Amino acid sequence: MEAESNRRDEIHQLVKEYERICRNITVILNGVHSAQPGEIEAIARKALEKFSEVRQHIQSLAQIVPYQQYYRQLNLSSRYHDIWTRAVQTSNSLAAFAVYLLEERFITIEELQTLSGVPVNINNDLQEFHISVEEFLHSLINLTNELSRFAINSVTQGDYNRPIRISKFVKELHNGFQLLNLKNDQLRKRFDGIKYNIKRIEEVVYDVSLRKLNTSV
Amino acid sequence: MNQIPVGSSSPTISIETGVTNSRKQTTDDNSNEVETQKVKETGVRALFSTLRDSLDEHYNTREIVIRHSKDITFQSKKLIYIGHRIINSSLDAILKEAAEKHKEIFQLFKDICVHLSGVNYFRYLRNMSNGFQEYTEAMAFLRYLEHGDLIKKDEIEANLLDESGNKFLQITDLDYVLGIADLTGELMRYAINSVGKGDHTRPLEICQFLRNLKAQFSLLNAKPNSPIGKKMEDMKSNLQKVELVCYALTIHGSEYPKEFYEFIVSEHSRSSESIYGH
Repeated sequence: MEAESNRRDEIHQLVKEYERICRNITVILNGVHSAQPGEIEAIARKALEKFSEVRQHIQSLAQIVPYQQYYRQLNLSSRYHDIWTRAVQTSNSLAAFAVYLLEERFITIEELQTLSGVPVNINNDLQEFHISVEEFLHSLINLTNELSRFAINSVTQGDYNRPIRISKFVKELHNGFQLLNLKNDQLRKRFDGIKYNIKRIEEVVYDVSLRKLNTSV
Repeated sequence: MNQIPVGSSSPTISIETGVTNSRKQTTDDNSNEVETQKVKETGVRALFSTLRDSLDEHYNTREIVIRHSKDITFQSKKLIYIGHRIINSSLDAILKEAAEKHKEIFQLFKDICVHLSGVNYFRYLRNMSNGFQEYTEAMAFLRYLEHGDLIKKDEIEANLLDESGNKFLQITDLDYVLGIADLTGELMRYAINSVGKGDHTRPLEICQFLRNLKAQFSLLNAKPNSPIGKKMEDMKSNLQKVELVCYALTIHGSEYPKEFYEFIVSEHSRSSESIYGH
C-alpha cells in the first residue's frame, strides 16, 4: 500500500509537469485568435514542435505506470487512469487543433500516435500505456469548443471565409459522432454539447454571408 | 452583431444574392474542391467507423462483465441463505448444498475471466466489484459456520483455480475488506436466529468475533465517507444489535425457561430497531 501511494504521488507530479507543457502549447495556439491569417501556419508549426516535450512527458508517465495497471483502481472512485486522463485529453485536442490549423482536416489516429508517442487503443488490446478511444473522442469535442471561438475571432481579424470552412468541418465532425453508438455516459453528454458550438459558428456564418463579406464558399 | 451597419440598403436582397452567388460558385468552378471534400468526408467516415467499432467492443465487454457480476451476486446471496439454514439442519448438509451452489458460481467466474485478463482486469473492475464482494461475504460466512474464524483473502482465491491449479482471478484488498464488512450483517442475523433455536453460547461467540473484527477495521484508519468508512457504520450497528441480544440473554436468562427466549429476543431486537433506526 505504501508503494502504491508513493507511485500515485509520483504520477501526480508527472501529470502536473505534463499539464504545464500543455498550458504552454495552449498559449502558443491561443495566438491564432489574434493573428493575421498569414501567421496561422507558423503558429501551428511552432505548437507542433512543442509536442516533442509532450512525448517526453507521456513517455515518463508510461514508464512509471506498471504493466497492465493502466486502469488500476485506487479506491472505489478513482483509478490511475483518472489522474492523467484530463491532461491527455488536453494535449490530444491541442494536437488536433494544430493539425487543423495547418491543413484544415482531421488529425488521423496515426498522427496522434506519432505526436504523443503512445498508441491509441483501437483494438481494446493494449496492455501498456495508451490513449483510449474515449480520450480521443473527448479531445475532438474539445476541438469544437476551440473552433467556435476561432470562428468568431477570425471574423474580427478580417478573415470572413474561415467561419464558413470551420462550419463545414465541425458539421462533418458532428456527423461522424452520429455514427457512434454512444451509451448514456460522459461522452454522450459532451457530444450533446457540440450542437451549441455548431449553432454559434452558424450564427457567425449567417452574419458574414448576410453582409456578403465572404468571397467564396 | 446584427446591429452593425452593412452598407447595403436592403438586407433582404443581399441575402438572396448572397445565396445564389455561393450556389453558383460551388457548382461551377469548384468541382475540384467538391471532389476533395468527398474524399475528406469518407476519411472522416472511416475514422469514426473505426472508433465506433472500438467503442462497441468496449461497451459489449462491459455489459457482459456487469451481467456476470449481477449473476454472481445473486448466486452468492443464495449461498448465504443456504448458510442461514444451519438453524434447522446439520452443518454437513449445509456444506454439501453450498458446494453444489458454488459450482455454479465457479462457472460464472470461469466464464468471465477471459474478459478480465491483463489490463482489462482493472478496466472493468468497477463493474465486477459487487460480485467479488458478495462472493467474499458468502465464502466468509460459510467459513465461519464451519470453523468459527475469519477467512483469508488467499483462501477465497484458492477457490478460483483452473484445471492446472493456477489462480485465474484475484480479489482486490478493497473488495475483500468490503465483503468482510458485509459479513457482520449476516453474523448478526445468525446470532439472533440461534437464540431462537435456544443456543445461548453462539451469540456470545459471535459477539466476541465481531468485536475483534471491528477492532481490526478501525486499524485501517478509513476516512468517514470512504467506502470502508461507510461500512464501518453498518458494522457498528450490527455489533450493537448482537450486544443487545447478549444482554437480553444474560439478564433474562435467570428468569425464564428456555422456551421464552425466542419471544424475548424478538421483542428486544424490535425495540432496539426503534432506538437505532435500523
